[in-house]
Amino acid sequence: MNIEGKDYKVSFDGRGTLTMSGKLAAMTEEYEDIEDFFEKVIEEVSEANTTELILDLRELTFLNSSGIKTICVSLVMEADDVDGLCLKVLCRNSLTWQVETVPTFKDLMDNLEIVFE
Amino acid sequence: MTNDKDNVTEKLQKRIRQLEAALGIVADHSGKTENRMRKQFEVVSETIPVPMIISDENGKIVFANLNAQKTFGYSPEDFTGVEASSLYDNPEKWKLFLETLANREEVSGFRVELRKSEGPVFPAALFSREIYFDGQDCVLTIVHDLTEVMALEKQLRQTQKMEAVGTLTSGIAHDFNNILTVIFGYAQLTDSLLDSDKDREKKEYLDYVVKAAIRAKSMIRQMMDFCRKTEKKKKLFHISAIVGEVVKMMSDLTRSDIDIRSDTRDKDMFVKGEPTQIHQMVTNLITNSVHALSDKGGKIEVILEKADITEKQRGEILIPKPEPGIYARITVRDNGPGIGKGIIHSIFDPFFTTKPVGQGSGMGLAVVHGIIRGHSGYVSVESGLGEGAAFHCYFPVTEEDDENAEPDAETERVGKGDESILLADDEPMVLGACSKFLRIMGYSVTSCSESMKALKIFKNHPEAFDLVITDNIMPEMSGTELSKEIRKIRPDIPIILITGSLFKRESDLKKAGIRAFIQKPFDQRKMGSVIREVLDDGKKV
Repeated sequence: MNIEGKDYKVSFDGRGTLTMSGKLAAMTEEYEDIEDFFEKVIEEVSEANTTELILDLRELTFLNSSGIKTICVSLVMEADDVDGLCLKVLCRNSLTWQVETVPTFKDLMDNLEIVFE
Repeated sequence: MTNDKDNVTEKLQKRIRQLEAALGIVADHSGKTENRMRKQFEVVSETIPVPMIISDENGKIVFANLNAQKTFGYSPEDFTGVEASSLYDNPEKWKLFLETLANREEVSGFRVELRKSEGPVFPAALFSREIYFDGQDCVLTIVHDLTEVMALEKQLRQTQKMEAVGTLTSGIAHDFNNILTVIFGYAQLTDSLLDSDKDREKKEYLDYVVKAAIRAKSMIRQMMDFCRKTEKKKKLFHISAIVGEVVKMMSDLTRSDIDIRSDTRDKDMFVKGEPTQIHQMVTNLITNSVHALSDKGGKIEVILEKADITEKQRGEILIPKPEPGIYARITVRDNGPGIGKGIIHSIFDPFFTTKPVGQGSGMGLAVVHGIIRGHSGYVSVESGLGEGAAFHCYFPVTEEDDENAEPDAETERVGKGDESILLADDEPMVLGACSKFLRIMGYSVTSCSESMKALKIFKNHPEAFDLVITDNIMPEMSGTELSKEIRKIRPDIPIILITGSLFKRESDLKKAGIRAFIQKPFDQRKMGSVIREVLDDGKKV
């Protein structure tokens, strides 16, 4: 399943990889669809007893603060509530926002692994 | 029960901690992103090579990039707070600009005259959009300074005008030269029939005819110099020698209350070109100055110096704009009444004159322009009413040795002969005059007014002729084409081309097997000299 906007795409492969790509600079209310999407992903992962959820951000070149809030609250914090689930975030060293912000996600979830390439 | 309550409390406390952390993450990300974008904006605004201005809803400038500061002459501190409307030469245009922006949400290519802080006005095109900047609704405006573009457009229009006039002039010159050839020819033939004692009065009248024709010839020569498109063989020469010669000549010819002074600051400068043309150019400029000083007398300075044209100096009124480099600059400056701003851009136009009817042809400065252009040079004018006038003429300096600096000794051998000549010209009167000239000189002439017919005659009797003389512009087949065809039949036949138009390139003439050319109008002496030169050269071979 996936969700697409003008400059971005969010997709889940049903097995454990959630990919976000493009540029996400929407306003808060526009993130509601993505929040619903994340809710479904967490439900699926939870029901399938998946042990690792991969969040692939390597092709997401820009994310505004509303997007950060959405990922933090609707994905990372919710994933933290799922027992035994590890969240692995794939990032790119060349994207400044990922270098600066993604490591702070660890403040929200203990079982979180960040991989930069 | 207590355990459940504790669990819920613990979960809530955890969630609160997470939310606080998330808030911190978002705020941190937001701050960093904002800083990064601000820096990007600053880099972009300082890098773009055009002025960029942001004004608030009240029209006050809240941001101006470095280019805007340079263009308008404000310091960064002075710029902030300036009313955007004060940058407009006409405040009504500011209102119109805002109305356009309000109606269309963006403005593209809005033409306007803008004012710098010190007062000068310049043409510009504005490109604007409404933006949200530093927490308020603003207007972003990019200013495209059109000063240079408009100067180039003007230069292009001037070039096109000159090209058009050149084409027209060369057409007129061609027809006039044919007419003058006939006038010279028959005047000379008539003169030869008159007795110097008995027909003195008739001879005198004929002399007036020839003098008027000579004046007309000189005018046509000037017109042709102006629109000359092909180059004569250029040679290296000392430009100071030419300038000195003209100043001396003009000083001798000019009345004593006009003081002509020469100031040669750099003597050893070689220029590649035609010395006679430079001579004419300086003569024309001094003549104009003399005319400007004719009421009250005055001073004319002719300065020759080396000039290094830098980028900065290129901004003057230069036609066309020069490439930076080393030039020989001839300045002809007078302290006369000067040239009004209204006409200064027309002075190089052919037939433009401020002199009374009959006193000026309007070709003087047009010829100056043509000569300078033909030497890859440039000209600039400094003048204003009551300020005198200075013409600066720039010629590229050549460093090579003066290998060809010897004077051009053009000796005309007047010669007679008994050879057989095939003569082709589509103008019956020119043909008639030339035939008579040639017969008087002793030649046997077969004349023909059609090029195809001339070719047929030659084809039938190729060995009957020692020389072919042909006009260039003829219907059916041009003189150059006729020459090529004739050379196919007899490659050794010498051919002379006569032309009333501009000189063709020497290489083209050689390709067609043409040994020499005679420029119309010409007289019997000129024609005889060229014919003998060609025929005698052939015999030497």
